[in-house]
Amino acid sequence: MFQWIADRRHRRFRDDLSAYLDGRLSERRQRRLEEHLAACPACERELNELRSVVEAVKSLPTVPAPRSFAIQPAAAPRVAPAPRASLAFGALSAAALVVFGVLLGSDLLTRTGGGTVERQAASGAMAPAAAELGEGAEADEGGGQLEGAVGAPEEEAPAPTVAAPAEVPEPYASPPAGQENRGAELAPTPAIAERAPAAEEEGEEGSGRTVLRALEAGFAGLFLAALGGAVWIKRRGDVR
Amino acid sequence: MERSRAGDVESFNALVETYQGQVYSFCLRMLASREEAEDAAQETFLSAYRHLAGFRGGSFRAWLLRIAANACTDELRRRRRRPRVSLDAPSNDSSAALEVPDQAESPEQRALRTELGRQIEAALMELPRDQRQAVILCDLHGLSYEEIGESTGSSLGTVKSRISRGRARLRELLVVQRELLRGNPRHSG
Repeated sequence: MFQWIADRRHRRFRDDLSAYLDGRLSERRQRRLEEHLAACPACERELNELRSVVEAVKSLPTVPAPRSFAIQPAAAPRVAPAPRASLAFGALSAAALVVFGVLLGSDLLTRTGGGTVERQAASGAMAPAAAELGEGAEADEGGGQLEGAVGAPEEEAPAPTVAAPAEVPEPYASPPAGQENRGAELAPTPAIAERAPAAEEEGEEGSGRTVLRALEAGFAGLFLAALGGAVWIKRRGDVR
Repeated sequence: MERSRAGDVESFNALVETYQGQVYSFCLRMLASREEAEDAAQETFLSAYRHLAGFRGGSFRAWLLRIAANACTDELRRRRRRPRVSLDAPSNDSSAALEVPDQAESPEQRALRTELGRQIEAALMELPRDQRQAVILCDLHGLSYEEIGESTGSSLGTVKSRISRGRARLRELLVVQRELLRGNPRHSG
């Protein structure tokens, strides 16, 4: 048993010899190894042999190139101008993301704002669920509910514009929003039933919401397309 | 460097001139074939020229060797598809391919160095490819563990372990020639 422990310790010290030669051991491990080396002639001999081997390898000469590997100006490969093109796509993608964030922010803020005023915060969070499920007339119940609760949705519009900058510096602003929506899609449906009567209150506000949502979808699509373009161009540049 | 980045071939060729020996040596020791090493070295410089915009400072030599390591990996993959020689067993002419004439030394010195060099080169070829690559980059090209990790896409722990196992194996292989190692003052530690 003691022998086994001693062997294991010994093996660990041997494994440290290479890193010790390169000065890559922690101070504590180095000190313990040095203590061991002072008491173990076998490890000390191995360290010296290892050092000789490293020196021998280091002394191998650089083999001169048999010919010049210089690039012929005529045959020089084109340096890909890809970064600039992908930069343009990236900028377009960022702009689309900002607009998408503003639209989504205004949409969510107005809808969830109404929900929290009227009911529990949790049921307010369910509002997008009904919308995203595309339940026909129920798709706009969030706006209807807001109308019922606050009464003047137009006045809410400037608020998201102020809130929007918070989305700009966050490069991944859209994925969490998307996840939220995806999560909402999977959310249980009772909220829909609960809110169904609210949909009846829906007036011409519904067409405004539809336009807003169409714009959201459009800018989200533009963001993804521009991002895809940037990635594709960059990848093509790397491969060439 | 800045002019090379802007696509100036002449400036880039000055860099090629500086580093081509090291790149070719590395490729030759990884591939043990002059022809394939030449192809890999040429591919390295072409690739470096194309992607110079992607070089973000630091050691240019380490960056080049990283590209060379990839070129050698590609070459070995191609070789595997058309097996001609074993990857880890050196071809018969590999040691001869690595001999470097030096006019300044005596025939006796040269015989000793050539013999020792041949043994070390042969022992290096006995190592598994990942260990050989790590040992060559560390001991021959002086790259740090971090640079080797970047070159090979490996963690620091993996690099450390490959170097350690590679050196230990080299020691086992060369210990037979211990007297030779100790007899040559150039190599005594």
